Order: sequence, then C-alpha cells, then structure tokens
Amino acid sequence: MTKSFDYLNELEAKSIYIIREAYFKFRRKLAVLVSWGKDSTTMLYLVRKAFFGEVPVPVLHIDTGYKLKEIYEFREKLKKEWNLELIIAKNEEAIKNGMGPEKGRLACCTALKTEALKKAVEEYGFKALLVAIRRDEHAIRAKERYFSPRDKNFKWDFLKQPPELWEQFSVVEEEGSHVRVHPMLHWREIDIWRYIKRENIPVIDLYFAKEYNGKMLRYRSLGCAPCVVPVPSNARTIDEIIEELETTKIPERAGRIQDKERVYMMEKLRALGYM
Amino acid sequence: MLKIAMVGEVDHGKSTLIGRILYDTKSLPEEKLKEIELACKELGEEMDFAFVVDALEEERKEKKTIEASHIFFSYKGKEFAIIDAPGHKEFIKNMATGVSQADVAVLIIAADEGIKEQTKRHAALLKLLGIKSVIVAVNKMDLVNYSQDIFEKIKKKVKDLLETIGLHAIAFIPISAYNGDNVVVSSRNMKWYNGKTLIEELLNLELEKKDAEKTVFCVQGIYETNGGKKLVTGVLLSGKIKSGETLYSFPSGKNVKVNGIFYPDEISKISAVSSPGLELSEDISRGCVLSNKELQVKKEIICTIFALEERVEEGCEFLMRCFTQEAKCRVKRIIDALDIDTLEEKNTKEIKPCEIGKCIIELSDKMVFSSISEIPELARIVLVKNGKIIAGGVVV
Amino acid sequence: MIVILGYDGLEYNYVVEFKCKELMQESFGKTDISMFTEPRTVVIWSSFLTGRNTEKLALKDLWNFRVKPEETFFSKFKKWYAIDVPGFTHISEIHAKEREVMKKVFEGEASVEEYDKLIFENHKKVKEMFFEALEKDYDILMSYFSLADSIGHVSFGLKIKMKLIYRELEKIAKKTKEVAKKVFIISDHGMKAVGRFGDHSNYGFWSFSENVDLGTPKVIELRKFIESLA
Repeated sequence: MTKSFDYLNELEAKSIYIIREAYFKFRRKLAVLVSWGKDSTTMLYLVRKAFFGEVPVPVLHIDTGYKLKEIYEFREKLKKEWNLELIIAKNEEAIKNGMGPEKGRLACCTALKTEALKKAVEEYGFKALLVAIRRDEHAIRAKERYFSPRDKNFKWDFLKQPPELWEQFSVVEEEGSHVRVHPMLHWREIDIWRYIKRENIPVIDLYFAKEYNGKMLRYRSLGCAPCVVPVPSNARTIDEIIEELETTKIPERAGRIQDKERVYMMEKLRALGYM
Repeated sequence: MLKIAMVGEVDHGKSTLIGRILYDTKSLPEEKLKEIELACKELGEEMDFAFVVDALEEERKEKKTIEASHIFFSYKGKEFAIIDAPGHKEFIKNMATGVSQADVAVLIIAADEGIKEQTKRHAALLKLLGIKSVIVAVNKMDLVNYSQDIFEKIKKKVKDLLETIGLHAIAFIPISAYNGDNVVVSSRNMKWYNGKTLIEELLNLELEKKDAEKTVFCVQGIYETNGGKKLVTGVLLSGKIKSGETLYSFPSGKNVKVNGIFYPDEISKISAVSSPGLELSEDISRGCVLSNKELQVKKEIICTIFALEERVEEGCEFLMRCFTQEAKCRVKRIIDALDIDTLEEKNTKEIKPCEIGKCIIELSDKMVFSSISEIPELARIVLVKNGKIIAGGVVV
Repeated sequence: MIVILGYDGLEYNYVVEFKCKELMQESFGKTDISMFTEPRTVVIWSSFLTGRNTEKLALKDLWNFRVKPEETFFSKFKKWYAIDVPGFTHISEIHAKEREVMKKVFEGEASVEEYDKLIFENHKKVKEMFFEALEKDYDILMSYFSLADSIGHVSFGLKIKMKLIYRELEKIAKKTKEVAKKVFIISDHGMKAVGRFGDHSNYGFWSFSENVDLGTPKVIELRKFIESLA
C-alpha cells in the first residue's frame, strides 16, 4: 500500500532550485503570486522549504472581491501561521464603477484580475513573480518556460522565447518588463495531491466532496464564486482524490467556466441569440 | 518518472507511434475519443485507429508543436513523460531544449525510407546533449512486408551511423506503430524478432546511478535567516554531507568546515535532502563547488557546442555558465564543425545556428568541470549573451 | 424538382479542406452577409427567403419571428415545401431545446455527449422528413439542417469530428441529387474555431448543381437567382 513516490523528491528539488534562482536573482523585487488554491499553496510551501521555514519575499494576492468565502478564511489562517508579508491587490476603481461578472466575464476578469495585477506590479516595482502554473493544466501552458518573459504590456510572445537548457534559464531584462517564474511547471495535478498528502500541506476543504442540493460535488479548481462550479465527485479525503485522479481522464478545468474561450463563446452566443 | 524524447524525420511516424503508445496503454483522453465514437455510431461510420492518430495530431497542432511539449502516461505502475520534439529543421533549437531533459531517446526511422537528414541531425544532437540511452525503432515495417532482411540492413546502417557519432543503441526494434506491432504488444507479423517490445525496453531501462562516495555540492547563494544565520544554499548533486566534516571549496581548493546542516524543513527530513543549507567555517559565494574529493579545475576547455540563436565565431566573447558557476569567456579556436548532411568534419572559423562544432574556450576565471558520465551537471555549459542563452555545449 | 439544402454554419474553408465534392457541386463560393450587424441565423435565412434585410424586425423577438409565404420566393412556385427553415417554418420546440442544452454545456451542467446525442436525434428527425418529402412531387423543396452549426458551436475546433459531420451532409446532398434536377446548397454563415468551440464567421457558402457565375453574392440578392430557376 505505502508507495513512497520517490520521484516527488526530484520534482521538489527542481522547484526549490528554481525558487532559489529567482530569489538570488531578484531578491526583494520578487513576489509570490498566490490564489490560495492547491497549486499556489504548494508553491508557497516550497518557498518556505527553500528558505528554511521563512518566506523572504512579499506574497501577492489579487483579490477580485468575488472569491469564495473559504478562500478568505484560508488566507488569514496561513498569513498568521506562515508569517506572511501579504499584499492584497484590488482594482478598487473598477469595483467602485460597478465592475462584476454580470458585466461580462471576460471584461470582469480583465479589470479585476489582469489590471489589478498590472497595477500592483507597477506600484511595488516587482521584476519577477513566482506563479504556480503547471504544464499539464492547459494546452497553451505546454509552451511555457520556467522563466517566461512578459513585456511591459504583459504580453507573452511564445515564439520568441529564449531557450532553456538544463538548469540554465535566460533572463533578458527590458524596461518595464517582468519575468514570470514557474517553479511548478513540471508537476501534474496528481503529483500535487500526492505531495500535499506526503507533506501534510494545508488545503481549503472546498476540494473535498460535499453534498450540494442532493448531489456529491467537489471543487477541482478554485476561483471567483460566480465563475467556478463544483464537479460531481465522491472524493472526501486526499486519498480519495488521489484515487479519483488515478482513474479519471476528465480534464481538471472541466469545472472552470472562466476558461477564456468558453467565456468568449458564451458572450458571442448571447449576441447571436442562442442564449 | 522516465522522460522519453521521441526524435526522427518528420514523416517517419512519430505521431502515429505516440498515438499507438497512448492507445495501447489506455492513456488517451477518453473525453475527446468518446465524442468521435458517438459521432461515428450516430452517423453510421466505422471507428478506427486512424481517427485516434488524427485526433491526437490535431491536438498537437493546436499546441503548435513548434517546441517540445510533454505527454504523460503510465504503464504497469511506472510513470512516463514523452517529450514530443518537433522535427522541423528551423525548430531544432526548441528540440534541443526538449531533448536535453530526457533520460532516454527513441530514434524513429521509417523502414521504407531509411536514414534521412533529420535522422543524422537528431542523432548528432542526442550525442551532444549527453543522452546515453538510445532505442532505435524501425517503423512502418508493414510497408516493407515485415521483411527481416530490410530491417537488418537498416539496423546495420544505423549502427554505423551511431558509431560514427559515438552513440551506442541499447536496442533496435522493428515496429509498425500503425498496426501496433512490437510497440506495446508483441508482433504476430514478425515472428523472427525475439527481442523486447518498445514499452518493455522502456520499462526495464535502468538509469545509471551516481558515485555515492563523491560529494559534490554547488552553491546557489547565501541566505540570511531572520535569526541572522548565514546559510549557504545549494544543490547536492552527488554523495552526502555530514556535519563536522571538512570539504574542499573549488575552484580555490581551500578547506571549509561544515559546522551545521539545515534542511529546508525541520518537520520533513524525508525529502529535500538534495537542497540543504550549510553553516560553514569560511565565507564562500555563489558558484563555489564543495567536494570531499579532488575536482578538475580549468581555465581553458575543449567542448562540443551547438549554436542555437546566433553564430559562434573565433574571438567571440560570452558569459559561460556551468550549473551555478559563471565566468566570462572567449572562443579561442574553432577546431571543426560537423556537416550535418555528410557528418563529415569541416574546417571553419564559425559555428552557425543549428550546427554542431568543437572549439577551445578560454575563461576569465577557473571553473570546475566534470565528464558527462560522472556529474553531467558539471559537464554541460551554456554561452550567454545579453542574458540570452545562444549556445549549449558539453565539455569533452 | 429544385431542392435547396440549407446547411446552417457550413464553412467554406472546411468544405474545401475536406474536399467535399458533393457540397462544392459544379459551382460554389462564399456569400456576402456584411449587411448584418451580426451573422444571426433567423435573420439571415429570412432575408435570404425574402430578399430584404429583416434584421430590424427580427431582432424584436428573434426565435418567434416568421416571414409570410407571400413575402418569399416560394410565392413564385406552385407546389413548394419548406422544412424547418428558421424565421419561416422552423420547429420551435426543437431549436428551443437545443439552445437550452447548449447553454448548459457552456455552463458545465451538461456534457458534450448529452448535447451531441440530442443534436443527432433531432437531425435524424429532420432528415427523415426531408427524405419523405423528396419522394413527393414539389416544384421546389427546401430543407434546413442545423447539424453543422449545432455541433460546430461546441466542437468546431475538433476537425476529425467536424469531418464526420461534413461527410454526413455530403451523403444527404448526394441522395438529393439522385432525385432533384437542380440543387442549391446554402449556408447562412460559416464558422471559425475558438479553441475547441466554434464562432460564426462573417461570410456564408453557396453551391449549385450547374455551372453559374454568381461570384460572392449578397445573400439578400439570391432571391432573384432562385426565382429565375422557376
């Protein structure tokens, strides 16, 4: 029964190496971008591991104001327990002007997430962000590098990405640009869960199946309350989630309707008279 | 997890082989196939393997396979990742990026076409990137009537080619990815072949273990904790470190005493053993290499390099990085470059992008190097210009 | 008999890429639908039938908008039949149900499989009606098939699947040609991929069983051409 999953050590070592590379390169111009989901929490845990229980850089949370309430509770809990230097970035102006999901999900995401992040990066002068994306998450992510440059307009030109060889990363510094550093790129959803289990990392209990309107459902990915839906599942513990993932082949994002294409389509279909 | 690079000429059946492996190991994304199956059923069409390959091919195109992407699957309890490297000439730099992470390479050659330009190019690249395990899959055996004779002829030619390059294949397997012969299931059409199937070869592959006696620790940086402790952080590439022992610090070779070892997390010592923090008797800095044995320190090296973005010419100056070490360098002499078509060495003063060549490089400061078979991390170098990696290489 | 096959969402580029000979017929091309603010199904079909831009009127109550036979080119023919044509004879229940499930798919409440099953079921119903009508003696018969559009919105990016759909539409066209003298195929708009999904493209498709030079006709000008076949 007890599988040791030694390969997790390799994944971990690689992530710690990348996190330290980013820190020694950017020092306090680096921030950890977190959403408090399983991936970014695991990343934050690895930052602590890389620096002997400390998180030496600011932790940045983009708060849309629409996050599930459990996320806020979890944030406050970890802030205290892990002694985090937390920066909460909000696009107050857009919120004041009534921006919300009813204005169209794409517009809402752009204003409350992208714009808020842009402002925070500018305000604090961050040159690099640790971001917990994984290669297996989405087709486009397969093209990401460990160190991915974003220009001053936050654009990512994947065709012009500098190559990465072995443990070496290219960092080309340009005025106004910043680097997205992806220490979790090589992890898969199942690896994250196996690691959470092994290391006993805290996670929000939204991930575990509960009864909603008579159906057993759980969140497979988290986000804003209006835009994430739980998926049918009977997995009530980490072990059961791992078991479920070992057998399922449904993509993780099946439950995440703010998938950009989906959002775009829904808006179009509404305009075309389908919805 | 075993990382497999799939390389070979564009039309030699890479996607079909990947499709076949995923199909026969039941690793295909069911969702999409189900939709196609349903459409077939409802519209009265037959479902066959061609649809699977097409569907997969579509997905790869969607990902615009201009650079290596990863395809995961598991079989008999073992985890695999196929690094899907594109075969186009112009994207060879992205291929290098992908292949450099692989534990084993599968070189695919179509039985009806034999060795092509890409085959040579890719084989040469495998050697350069230090891939030691190569499996040769002779594909499309169905198109040559599963002829043993043709297989043996190709095998001999490929063997010669690999020998010229300095590679040794661990297996030659005749397969038909389209029909599934010898990929996951043993072929009924090639009774004359007694070897393992491709998946069995991959399952049985033993990766070389490092010399556990030799301690090699590369310093990443010094971290000062909130408590004011100065910890030397880095990666333990080989061996162990004990508290209280004295190590050499290279390139200087000075002695340093390990006063204490800190693991990233005091709670969990089962992991992160390779990323400790050390309290040392002396101040050292990023790029130092600690060891209990004598390491090679050089100010001039001969290396094979592969130009990615720009040409490398005699007299050019770059920044050289080798794991966490870094120094200014100058290309002193280009010994030769390999003509990819003929695999003949040509005399030249430059190595153009996508070419491989041997050269002598002078360093501004001494650096620690190892052979690729011992500590690969200390044998792999990159040349950097304005923050950008423009060439990769291996120390000879 | 003249037959008009109204294939919703049939994309010019896929017809060419998949080499659908039965859909290309003797002459084919794109249609111009730039006179509409958006390529909306009901609007384009009713404009095609009447030869005038119905957008303003139709937008008031899209799926309840219907033009009268005397406003359309059918008035030029003695015996005519129009099956499920949007903005004219469309079968409301079918389309309402399809739209409802499509919404659920995008909201993650219904599976693609569930949706596809419904679409194929409805397609079979309409196909049956059409084949039955094909055996009767009409001067002009028009049948509308939403298959390519309905499947396309959810799966246009999955070419293999779409290829199967286009093959099916070819089969229908082939069978039609065995009976009808003149076959005109038209789509209201084509589609473009948004990831795996499909959005409307801003041109339609036409083809004819004989050699004609229509160029890129405005969809509202095609009424004249249909009437000239009488």
